Amino acid sequence: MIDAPTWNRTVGPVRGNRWRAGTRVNVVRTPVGQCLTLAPKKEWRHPWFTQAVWVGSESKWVATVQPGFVNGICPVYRQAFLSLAQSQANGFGINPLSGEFYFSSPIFNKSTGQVAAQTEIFNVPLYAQPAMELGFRNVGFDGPGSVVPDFFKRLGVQDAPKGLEEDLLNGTLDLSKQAPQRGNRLLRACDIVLHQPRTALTSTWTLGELGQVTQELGMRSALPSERLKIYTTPEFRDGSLATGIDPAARFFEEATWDETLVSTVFLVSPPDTEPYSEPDVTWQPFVRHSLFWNLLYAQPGLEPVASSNVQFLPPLPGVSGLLIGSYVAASLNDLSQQAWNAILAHSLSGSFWTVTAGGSTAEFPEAVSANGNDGSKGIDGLNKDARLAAERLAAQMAIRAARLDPVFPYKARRFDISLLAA
Amino acid sequence: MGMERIMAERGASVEGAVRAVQSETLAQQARPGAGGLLVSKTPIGVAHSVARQGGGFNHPFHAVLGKMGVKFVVSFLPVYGVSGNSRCGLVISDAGVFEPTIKGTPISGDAEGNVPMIEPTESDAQDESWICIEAEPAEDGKLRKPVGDDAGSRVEIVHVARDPMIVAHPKFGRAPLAMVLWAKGVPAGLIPIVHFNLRYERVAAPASGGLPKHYFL
Repeated sequence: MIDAPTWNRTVGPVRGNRWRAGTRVNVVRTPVGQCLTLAPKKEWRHPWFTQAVWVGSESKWVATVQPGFVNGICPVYRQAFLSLAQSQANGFGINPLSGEFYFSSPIFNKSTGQVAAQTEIFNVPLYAQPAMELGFRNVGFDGPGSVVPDFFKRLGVQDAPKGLEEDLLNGTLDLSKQAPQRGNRLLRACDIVLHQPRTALTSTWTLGELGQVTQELGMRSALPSERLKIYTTPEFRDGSLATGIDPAARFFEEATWDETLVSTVFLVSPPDTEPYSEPDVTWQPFVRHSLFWNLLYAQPGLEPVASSNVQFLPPLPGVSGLLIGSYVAASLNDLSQQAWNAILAHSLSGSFWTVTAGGSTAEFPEAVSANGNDGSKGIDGLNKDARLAAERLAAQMAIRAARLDPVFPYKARRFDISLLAA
Repeated sequence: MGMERIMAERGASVEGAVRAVQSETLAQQARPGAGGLLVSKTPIGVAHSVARQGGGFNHPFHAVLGKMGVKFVVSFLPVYGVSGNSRCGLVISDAGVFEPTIKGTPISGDAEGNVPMIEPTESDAQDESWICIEAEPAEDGKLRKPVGDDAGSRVEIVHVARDPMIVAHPKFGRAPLAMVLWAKGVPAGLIPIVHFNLRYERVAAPASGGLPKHYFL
């Protein structure tokens, strides 16, 4: 007979070894054993992580961005709110009989017969998760001239038909060629942009009596109301970069901001959606990030303006008609180029970078290509290690190709080493 | 009785059978493996747990906001390297590797195991404040470790309510490590800003005038 203490000593460890569920782990018992099931892994949300959300009550797509920082400052999003209650209140309080504000009836609003709603703009920091409205551009079949990323071509997004204008001119228009193929999916895109105010460079050149041109460089601050912010736009064009100056314009001014792309929100339609349709809840969102880590920002040194006067020779008049004409034109081009060179040399355009302790080489190393870059490792059937390494790299690259974003640790912004010049 | 008789005939005892069952049970006992699986042994079973995914990772300068009594304090999580060394974040420069201090104590703790902490004391008008790192080089512009009576350079973690970033300054540079969010006058949350170690570079003041620059790369 087995006594109770012996039984307990025997059963206790057995009972104690029974598998039980814990945090984010489930135990499934089957006739052939027990299985542990982990909860689905959630991706770590890096700074600037963008998410597109459909708001059913307002029938629109919005985006939220995980808070990111520039020099420790969190950007704001300028969000409009209706302050209907405030405009209705009029300071008289609520009528206890009607439950509405005194004088809120339309009869008291003689001008329009409606209660005016005021729109107020608030600066909402990113850590408050503002819902940013998205305005989309057409990409793909109904977006002529756009480029469809390979990622979306694999999903069934087709390029815009080519040769439409030529066919129309030649009278050889074939509508069957211009129609979308079966299963075509439409693509929409919206850019989210980071806006950093800064001091800008100004340039003015004057022509002296002896034909001597003097170029004066100065500085202009951003407006006091300007601040670090984030905004959405259908298509981001970096307006802080100018391509040149007009020779006839004697005054030039840089933009008082630097901007960089945070992310791009894409929406992919269901197959066979009518071209030029508006996105709705049936569309599938994707996000391609351009920023993954918090940023630091700095502008180049502000040298004294007096030392940046640039003087150069003026056009010389009075030789001959044709020669003067061409010479004057050439001199204006030369003047423009020299003025532009002086602006570029003293530009106050700043730069962003990521803290990585990597100094000027702040880029994370790229993986070696699958076919072997160094050439010393022959990838053949005999070199098993190289073959396995190549297979692993090929698998990694296939995974990367199937993603819009690079894998962890993503990508960092390089530090501009020109800032280290004394 | 039958079992005891059979076991007695075979020269085995009940205690021996129990030990055999126990050893077999122990051999089947679940143990933690790779991937951060936590196995908790309890009298009623073995619980399996994994850490919450997606919340973050244990990076250098990973600050956490905790509560000690009525004080809110910020401390830094240790980062264990492959070699087993414990550091909470480092500043690299031409003069070597520096471990920042909080009020004179290295952030990974002193010899007695005391880990320093910072108490956020005030916020700005937007209910924000920052945990920052400050690097103040010696007169020659280099970070220098203390030798003898020479206290060396200052690489310190501080709490500030304004100006989280200082680049141009005659003495020191400052960069933010984390932002403290306040609610109703007390720290309510903390957002990490820096996820890697830092590299410090100083640029001397230009000959035409101005201030030296302090960059954290």
